[in-house]
Amino acid sequence: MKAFEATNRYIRQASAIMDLGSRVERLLLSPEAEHTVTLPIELDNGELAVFTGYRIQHNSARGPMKGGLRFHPTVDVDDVRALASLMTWKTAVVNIPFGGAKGGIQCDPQQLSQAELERLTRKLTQRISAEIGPQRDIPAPDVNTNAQVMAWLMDEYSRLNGYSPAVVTGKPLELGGSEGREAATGRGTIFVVEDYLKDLDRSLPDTTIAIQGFGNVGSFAALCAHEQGARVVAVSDVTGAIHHPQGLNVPAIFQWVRSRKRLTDYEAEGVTRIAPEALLFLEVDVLIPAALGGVFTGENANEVRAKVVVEAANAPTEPEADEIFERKGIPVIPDILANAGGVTVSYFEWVQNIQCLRWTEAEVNSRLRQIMGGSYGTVRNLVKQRGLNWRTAAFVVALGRVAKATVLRGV
Amino acid sequence: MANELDSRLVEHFRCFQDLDAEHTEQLAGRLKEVRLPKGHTIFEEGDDGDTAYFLVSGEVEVRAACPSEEDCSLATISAGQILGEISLLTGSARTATAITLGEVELWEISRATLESAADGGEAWATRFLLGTSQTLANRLALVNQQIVGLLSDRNRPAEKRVAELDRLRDRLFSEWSF
Repeated sequence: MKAFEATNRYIRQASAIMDLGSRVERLLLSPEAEHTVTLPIELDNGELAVFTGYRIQHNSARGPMKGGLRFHPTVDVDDVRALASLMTWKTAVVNIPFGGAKGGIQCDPQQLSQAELERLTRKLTQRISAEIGPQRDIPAPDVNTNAQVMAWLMDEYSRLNGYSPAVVTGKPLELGGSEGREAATGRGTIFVVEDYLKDLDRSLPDTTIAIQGFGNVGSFAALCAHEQGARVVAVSDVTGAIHHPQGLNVPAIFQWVRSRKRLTDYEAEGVTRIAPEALLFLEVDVLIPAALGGVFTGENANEVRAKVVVEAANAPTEPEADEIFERKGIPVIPDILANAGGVTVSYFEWVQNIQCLRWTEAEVNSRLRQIMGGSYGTVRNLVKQRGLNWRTAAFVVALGRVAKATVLRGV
Repeated sequence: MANELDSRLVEHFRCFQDLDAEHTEQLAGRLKEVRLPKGHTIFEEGDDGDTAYFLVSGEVEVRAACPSEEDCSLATISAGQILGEISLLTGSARTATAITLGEVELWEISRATLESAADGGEAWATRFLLGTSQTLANRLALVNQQIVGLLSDRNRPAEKRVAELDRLRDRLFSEWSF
């Protein structure tokens, strides 16, 4: 919950700087619609189970709403509401023509068979099919939902409305998914790092990087950084952390983990195992949290010795840690900019579906490069011109774009 | 007492200025003196009422309920003016609330008194009705002007009626161009 309170705090800060006033602030923070649906399904044993599903549509001033669907026992309406709002700001920072939404089902997918999961996904799709759509609201994968779940959703929606691949993103490649989607978030993060270094007359080849998390985001961030010549000196996952002062052989580690081996079982000359938290305190040029939220707190932020923190994870920095970083002069490139590569390539998937086109991975990556570069530049200019910190500047850009669209369209 | 009242009535209220002494005395005999402290509600919007007041000293605020916010202040009445004349003439409920802004001195006149004086041909009653008609006519002329102003405002939206969102739009695009 703390991360969501923090989001609202950042939005209020940005709103105060822009002098939007409390009425407009309330207008921008209130969701447009909150749908709660009841989802009865038949379990494999013949019994009836009833779940609760949500789809909260926060803001559509800039376009159809976009945001993930999560299946988790802790999903509740407050959570989903805050996450929907965050999507509005994220799509605005990278200036893609989407608003924000989020949804989910309160359930434990670990306790459900594939067949039950499919029935549940189809039931949710039936219940919200009037509320979603390619020009209305486009779901995507999130916690415990994957390309298969998106495929069921697309199929059920298409049964009701005719073939509509653009109703959802994060689909399998075979059903209109996009090349480059899997790597997009990590790749986007490294584009941001590259641009940041360029402003300092530096480049990836003379840079050391530590990455916390080696999943969908961290592993691709590590791979992209390595491909461009950066020295990735440490990576970690839930099993622990590994370190090599001269730089790890990232492609080898990537293959190692892909073949379902434990990261900490990886062995090579010069590679040592370190405590997972020790990774956060290494003296590196760039520190990339790419796992969970709430990594940097008021207790540990003082020990961070990196020159810059780039948030590939959502909300890894608590507000108290933010203040400490600010005092220590460590810039924090915020999540809504640094991990927006994922939603950007989701947008590309939607564009390709609508145009019945297929882009190559090279085309996807080059367009992603442009969007991340443009967004970084806009935020960087505000940081320089107004003396704002990176997070506040990113929220000012986001809030500004949504506010402009809102006042142009009228209340 | 009567002399003092006579002179103040003539001094303050123009409509009684050319009444002779006899008629002035006749008027004075019909009025009831009322003294009220600061913050006193003389009458309230919606109340029944059939009296009007000559305000001899002090000030009275006249307020009416507005749909959008709290009450709006319609006018501040000062010595030499009449208040409550609408209910006096029509017998309808009070159309506004009158609250004293300080200590006030009033002379009250009732509908019954006015009617009987008019029936009896008392000269002051004619003067009073004429004076009140003039006040109402002036007010109507002012209201007509205001209506014309409101209508032309509505047809001239741009610079005159810049709403909150319009102002915000202009500011966003000038100050935050990204």
